[in-house]
Amino acid sequence: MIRYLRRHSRAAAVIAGVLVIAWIVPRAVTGQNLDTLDLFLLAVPGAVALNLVMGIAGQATIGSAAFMAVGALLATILDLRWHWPFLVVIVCAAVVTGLVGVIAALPAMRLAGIYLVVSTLALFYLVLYVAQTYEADNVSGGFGAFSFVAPSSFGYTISTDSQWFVVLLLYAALVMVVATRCSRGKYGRAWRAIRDREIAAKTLGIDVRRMKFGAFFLSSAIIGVQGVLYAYFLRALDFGSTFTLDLAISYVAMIVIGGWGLIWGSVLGAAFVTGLPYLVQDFGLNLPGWVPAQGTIQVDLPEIEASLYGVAIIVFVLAAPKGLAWLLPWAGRAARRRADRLIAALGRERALPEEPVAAERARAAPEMAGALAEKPSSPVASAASISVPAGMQGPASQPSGEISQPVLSVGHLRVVYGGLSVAVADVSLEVPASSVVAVLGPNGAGKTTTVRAITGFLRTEGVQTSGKVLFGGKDILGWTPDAIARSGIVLVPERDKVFTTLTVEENLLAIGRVRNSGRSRAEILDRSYDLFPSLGARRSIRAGFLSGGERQMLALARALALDARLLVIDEMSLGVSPVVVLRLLEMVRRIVADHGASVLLVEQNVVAALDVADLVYILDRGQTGRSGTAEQMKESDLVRKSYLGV
Amino acid sequence: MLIAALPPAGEYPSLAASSVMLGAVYVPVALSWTLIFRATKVLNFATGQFLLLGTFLYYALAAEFHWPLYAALLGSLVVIAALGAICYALLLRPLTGLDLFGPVILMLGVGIVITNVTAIIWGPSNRILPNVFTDRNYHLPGGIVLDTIRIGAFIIALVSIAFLLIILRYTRLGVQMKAAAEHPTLASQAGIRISVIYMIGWAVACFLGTLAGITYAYTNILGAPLADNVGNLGIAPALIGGLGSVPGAIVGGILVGFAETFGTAFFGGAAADAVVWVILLCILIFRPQGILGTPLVERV
Repeated sequence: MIRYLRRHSRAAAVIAGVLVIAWIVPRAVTGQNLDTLDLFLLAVPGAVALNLVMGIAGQATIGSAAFMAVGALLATILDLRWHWPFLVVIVCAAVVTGLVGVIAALPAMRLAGIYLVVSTLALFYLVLYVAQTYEADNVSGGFGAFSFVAPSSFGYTISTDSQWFVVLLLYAALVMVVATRCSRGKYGRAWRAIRDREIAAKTLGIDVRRMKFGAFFLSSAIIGVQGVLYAYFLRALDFGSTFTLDLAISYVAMIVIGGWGLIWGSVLGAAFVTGLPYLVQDFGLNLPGWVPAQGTIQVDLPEIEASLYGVAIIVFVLAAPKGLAWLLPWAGRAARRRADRLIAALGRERALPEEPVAAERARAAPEMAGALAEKPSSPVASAASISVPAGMQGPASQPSGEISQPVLSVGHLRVVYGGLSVAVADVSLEVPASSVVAVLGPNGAGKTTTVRAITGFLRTEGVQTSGKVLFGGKDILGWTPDAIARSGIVLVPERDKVFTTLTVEENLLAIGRVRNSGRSRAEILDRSYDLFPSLGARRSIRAGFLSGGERQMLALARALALDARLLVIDEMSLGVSPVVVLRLLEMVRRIVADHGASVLLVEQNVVAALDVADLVYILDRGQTGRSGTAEQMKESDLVRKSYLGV
Repeated sequence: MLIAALPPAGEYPSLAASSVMLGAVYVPVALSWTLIFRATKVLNFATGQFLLLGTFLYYALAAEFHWPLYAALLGSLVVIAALGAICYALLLRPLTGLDLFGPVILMLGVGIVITNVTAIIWGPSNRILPNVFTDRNYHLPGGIVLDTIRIGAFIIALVSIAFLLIILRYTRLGVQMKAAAEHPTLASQAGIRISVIYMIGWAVACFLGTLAGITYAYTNILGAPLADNVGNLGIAPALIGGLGSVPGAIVGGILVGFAETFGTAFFGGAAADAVVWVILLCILIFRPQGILGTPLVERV
């Protein structure tokens, strides 16, 4: 017995707690306050059910009012027309509304996110239409509402507020227990997996279809029963004015305000949303000199209250997007543990096919690193490497011997992702005027991160950066990408170089306005077609139909239309045939010669890069390694061994 | 839901004409939904409320402040356009990168605030907009009867569609808008200030919505249900035609015009909207990208 109690101590505590509350509260609270408590308890199951399907299973719906209306409609038919007993009505409502929920879930098999929201919105209007048509046909007299008598079963009648309190409390507690158990158990795990990554959930062997149907069935059934209780509680029921879109929104608001995916959060949210009108009323009535509904402007409390409630939604979405409950210190713990477990599970799943690759990479990495970390065999290269940081203070001593202000100089750049992962430890490099500089290095050397830092994309990702990126005498680290592009650093990205749905001509014009340029669209187009005649021939073709080489040309042409002083070209040779690479490199040389622009070439294709570059930097494990002229690099044994393979 | 009574065959041309006229009012609303979605991937669930406020503003300027009608029109459109842009910049931009529900719920909240502020200022009673022309009926061949107001609404809708198409097709701004919609990252790499472009997109969308609100209120009445009847229903033509597609919004708008007109003729006025929602549900289940939309991004 003691063992049994100990094992079920939580259940016992819950039952005891519910009983105590059910006994005390109706005796301690009366009148308006008890009515408010009843409305709150009535809202709890709906909020919990919506949180199950939306917060935990991740299926957005706005159909609460529709499911409540289905329940209420069943109550009017089964009770008022066929006089079925109360409990039977409840059970029928649960089953039927659950099935309606499954029908509502049909679009969820193919749709996600906002499309699902819209389909539940459509469902809402349809249910309301059916209910209102039924109401118009069946309600006689001027009231336009169905009226219910107090329900009773087993000799007990539910009519007073305190009787309702007990019934509603029991239902809310039951729903809470069911929801908590589902949420903690295998259903909850499956739902969260679907919410967080549906495709991965499938690979974990979760029957996504069944789980989605299950979530909708359970949630709709709970809400349907709530609709029945609501109908009886209201006594007089008019569908059009009761089950409104605002009602549906208020349940969404409960989850948003209370807490996404937290069962207790729904309770908080329900308390907030149902309690707000009373707070506002008290607040309004206590204002000195408050006289409602007077003067030219009609002021009604419900409207002020509703406005405040709208403001509350806005504030919560902006300030605490996950809801009140997540602000509690202990709230996220269980969820985080679950997330960790899921990630671990996904990791195991993923590790299988990738293992050989990863292992190979791990074996290859030290070799590569070792090769590069060796003492530089060429003294010139070593000198160039040292000169780079020095270049930050004064004019760089270029290996070519020229002395000129560099277009771009990066000094001691350091980039840390997420406070932990150091992607770039210490990178310094310079791009002299009218030159082509190549940045080479193995995967993970920090090439892409360096490019992202130079072009401003780390700022938008909230990454920690330090160091300097000087361009035209200004430190541009921290500028927005578009400002950097307009100032003259233009990135030709590795992939997604062109707007595929736009024509070639539109692609050339899809640029921000550059100060002091004032070039007309005709000038931009003429110049581009002059440089790349093949683009001119395809000017009204969508860029999505262009070949890899043509896309590269289009991207280069657009960069020149922006008056680029520094072109940053990321992996130009990727996905382009060797012949085209040669032609593109020719283009790059011409751009430098004709337009006086410099080029920063980030490449894995070392042969191609050494062919066109004036200066070469090698990045390794987030640091600037060796550097020198392309000629020096070609002669360097190490580069020949590790990159050129000769 | 039996067919009440088949309309006599002679009425079909007239019904078709009415459908096109009504559809033309839905087109700008559908464009409003579509433009905002295309640009910022947000469904603006406050579309109806924005246009309600705009239409009330027009009413106030024209009937209460006695501005000339064109000034009232311009004034209300500009104010709502600015409000849309501010709404994006202040409320939605901070949410960039969050999941899709945040913005949806935010806009629902904005809608609640606007509805109630409108109700606080103008009260619950319906208004009739000040007349532009003396209303008369025109009898066309085929038994088609059209009145001045509906013809005026039709022309305004056509002008607004033309205005949008010209912007999108022939201006740098249009190209920038399309670029920012297709690939925001690349657009900002091309020096386009995407948040400014998005603000302009919101402004244009709210402008179009208000235009539709005013024309609808002329053919009907101005009151709170306008938000639902025109604004929220406008999501149906946008999705039926294909969310994010401008031609789709036009096709969807006209289609909804037909559905509403013929739905009323066949099943009675209460069923008109239900017919539209049934069509929308079928589209969502069988062809989620809509009639002219490109295959879905939002597929699971």
